[in-house]
Amino acid sequence: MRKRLFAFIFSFALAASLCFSISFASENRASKTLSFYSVSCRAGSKSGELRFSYDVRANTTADSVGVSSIVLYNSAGVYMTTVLGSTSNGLIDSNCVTCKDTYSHTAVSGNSYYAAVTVFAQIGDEYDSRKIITDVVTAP
Amino acid sequence: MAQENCEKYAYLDQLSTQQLEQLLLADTEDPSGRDTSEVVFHILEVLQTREDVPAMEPVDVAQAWEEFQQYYNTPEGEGQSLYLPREDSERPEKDACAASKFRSRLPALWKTARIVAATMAILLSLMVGAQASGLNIFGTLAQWTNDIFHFGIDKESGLAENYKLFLDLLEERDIPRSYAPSQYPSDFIANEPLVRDDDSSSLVEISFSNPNGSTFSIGITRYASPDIIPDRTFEKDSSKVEIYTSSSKSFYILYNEGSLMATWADGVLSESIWGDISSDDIKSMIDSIGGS
Repeated sequence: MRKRLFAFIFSFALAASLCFSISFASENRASKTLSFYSVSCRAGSKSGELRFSYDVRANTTADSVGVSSIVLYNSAGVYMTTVLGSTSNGLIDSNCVTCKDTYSHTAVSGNSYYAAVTVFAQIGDEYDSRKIITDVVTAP
Repeated sequence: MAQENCEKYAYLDQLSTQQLEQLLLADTEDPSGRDTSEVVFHILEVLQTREDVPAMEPVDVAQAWEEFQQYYNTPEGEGQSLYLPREDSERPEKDACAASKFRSRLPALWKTARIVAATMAILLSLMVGAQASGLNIFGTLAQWTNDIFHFGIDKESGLAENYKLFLDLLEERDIPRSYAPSQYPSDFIANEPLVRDDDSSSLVEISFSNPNGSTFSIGITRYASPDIIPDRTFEKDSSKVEIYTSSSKSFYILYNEGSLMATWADGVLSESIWGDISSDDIKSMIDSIGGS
């Protein structure tokens, strides 16, 4: 009887703790700086060209908003290269609400790739980012 | 053997109690020494039986008949039973039987509850493990939960020049002017509109700010084709998503850590109003869409 009672209490406590951790994780997904965002990757018109379209919106006018990095993998998950965002390559914009554009990257023609794209927004001392995984695209 | 003795000494049952007692006394005074134990035991049994059953008083039959006629055989008693209706003496037995069945089911229910609890715990632990290994299990489940919101898609009354320019830019990109609000909060100033064109879409956006430092934005996007509309992710807190419909356009209103977002989409067009703006102001702007 004691063993059964202990097993039941333990199971219940375990389930309850897991629910709390899920709830805690869920509540932290709201962002103080990011409003909404999208990233997609398509094959370009040139040989080996991958075109990353991104649209990142901050809640209000941000000191800095856009794409902080594009990490490229082949379809097998092997790391290829990293592109860091900057105002010079257009992946990052300053003193605005929206950073929206298309970034072109040249890869090996015929190979398939996907990318882990990190978007972010900084408003004053508040900074937040999200990682988006694109679909697998074959470079033309 | 006992049956034979009963038949053998049955005649003793016919004697009165006094006579039986006299026989016992005579037996104790008999000097012959004969074994009369069987007789004595039978007499004692008879006497004991008579003591257990109280003696009934003789019944006065005439008096009983007179009482019956007087108290029971009356016109009011016509058709009535002399006896009380039989109580469900079986009911206590039935209740006891039902209680017994319920008690017998408790161990089975308890066992089932334990199995269910254990199964739930195992499933949740597996989900946590998968999440830790990189699979976005909870993210998938959160397609429409409290943390993020996925969406498939989006009036000129003494308006400032910047807002008129915003409306002109919409028309240039084949976005109907009527899709933009014809009114906005009077304490906000319209900033210069911006255009973001790329090979997949065109965005026309305008931001507003007020003396308190609050800002909000209106953005309308036209995608080149429905095939390239990306999967957009909207950040939101645990507040409920509100659907506000006006002029046949249903806007989804989301709350995100003090900011508000209202978004609508239709085919290749998507419209969003977001920032430090109240729910009432956003709804007023939505109501003004399509107005003059």
